[in-house]
Amino acid sequence: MMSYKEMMAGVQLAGVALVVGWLGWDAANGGLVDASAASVAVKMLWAVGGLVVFNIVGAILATIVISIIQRSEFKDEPSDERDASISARSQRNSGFATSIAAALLLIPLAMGADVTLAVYGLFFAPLLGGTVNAISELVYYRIG
Amino acid sequence: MGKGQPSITNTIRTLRFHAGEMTQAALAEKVGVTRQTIVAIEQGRYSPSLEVAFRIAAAFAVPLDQVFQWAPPDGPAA
Repeated sequence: MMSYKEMMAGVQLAGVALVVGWLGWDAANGGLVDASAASVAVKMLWAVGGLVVFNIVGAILATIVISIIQRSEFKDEPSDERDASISARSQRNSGFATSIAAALLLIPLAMGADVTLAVYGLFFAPLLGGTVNAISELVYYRIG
Repeated sequence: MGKGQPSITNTIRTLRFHAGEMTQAALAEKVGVTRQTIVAIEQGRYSPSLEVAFRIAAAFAVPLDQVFQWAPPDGPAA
């Protein structure tokens, strides 16, 4: 049976998929053409806002749906030592992913890539970290 | 935990049966952890801290070594 914490990780991943899908669709439809750093930053702010709203609404809806399916209230339990251990390992993985992504982003910038790439990087490096954190939690809750 | 068979095994399932088919949720409540943690311990996927191990033993009123058993890993001795 899925725990509340696993559900939250799943909602986060769904939100990431939605936002990446939207940004991919935007890029495929000319969103990157002649885009200024400011316009890209505005787009990333909308993406951040969308992620926050999706996580809140998604968590509420998922809680309601699972409660209906289980016919009992689906709620978070107080964290114990295993939760703390899984959270620590997941955050470690997340930190690695964010640091590596940020470091790799500096290479094209050092080679003269457009500054809008840095704006994308400011959004995607933490997003990658959050994604790695959510995936790590889902994996660790299954294997240990 | 390492590869292959876990070196720490437990008899929690049997002890729950002998405790009037105590549920995992009831044991979790007594021990002060989540039900998912009891499931993971019972299946050998998670080795609890010494304190939680003692709490589990206390929940069944048995010595620790009746709940958890350790076997040295296979292979040549160090």
